[in-house]
Amino acid sequence: MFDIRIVKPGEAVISGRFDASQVDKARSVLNELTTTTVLDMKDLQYVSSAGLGILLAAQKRLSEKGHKLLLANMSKHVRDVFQITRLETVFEIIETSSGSG
Amino acid sequence: MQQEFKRNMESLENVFDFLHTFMSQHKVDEETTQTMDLVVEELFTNMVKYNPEAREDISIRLDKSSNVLSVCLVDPNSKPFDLTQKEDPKLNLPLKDRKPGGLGIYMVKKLTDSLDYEHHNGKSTITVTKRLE
Repeated sequence: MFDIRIVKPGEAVISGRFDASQVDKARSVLNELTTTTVLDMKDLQYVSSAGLGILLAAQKRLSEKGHKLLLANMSKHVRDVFQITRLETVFEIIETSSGSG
Repeated sequence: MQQEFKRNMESLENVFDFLHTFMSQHKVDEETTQTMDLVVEELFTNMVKYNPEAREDISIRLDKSSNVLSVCLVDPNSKPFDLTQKEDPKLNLPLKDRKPGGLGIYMVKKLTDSLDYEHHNGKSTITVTKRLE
């Protein structure tokens, strides 16, 4: 099941399958972000172009105010999607200690 | 194996269930199944997005012969739109100029071995194939 939530300012988590049926939910949560935020993707199993579009829009909106989304702990599938679309060049992709275990 | 699906994004759950049943029956590995999830979602949602007025269901047919997977999607009531001729998105632009449009079909092209489009008597047929390792 797809889920996305803000844990605290600067920290959010996304999990499950981010397909085209989930864009409204994701957009609504990402629109609440007002500062640089680490988005933990440890439990995100799947993302399609619909999900990429929502993440890209959030990154653009935050960057206009000098902030950004940091994408943490991507699975192989999610990382492959970012590599194919070259979106890895417009996001900072990181590993965090909380996501590595 | 073939099934019809309502023309809306909420059908995706049923589309994935259908796909996973087929992949499981044919013992297709998890990585390939995820790739085909992506391919089928992009093609199905493309048909929904660009032809929302039509009422007819979209059909999806899955086949596997020796080491090739084949997926065929049919929209029985649509205007011609040859997605194989769609220009690839510009992927080297800076963030402010990047646009999400076109990424789905671009990924389908990159992840499959063939992508064919036919339009005949108002019916669009998209067929993709993927060789299995």
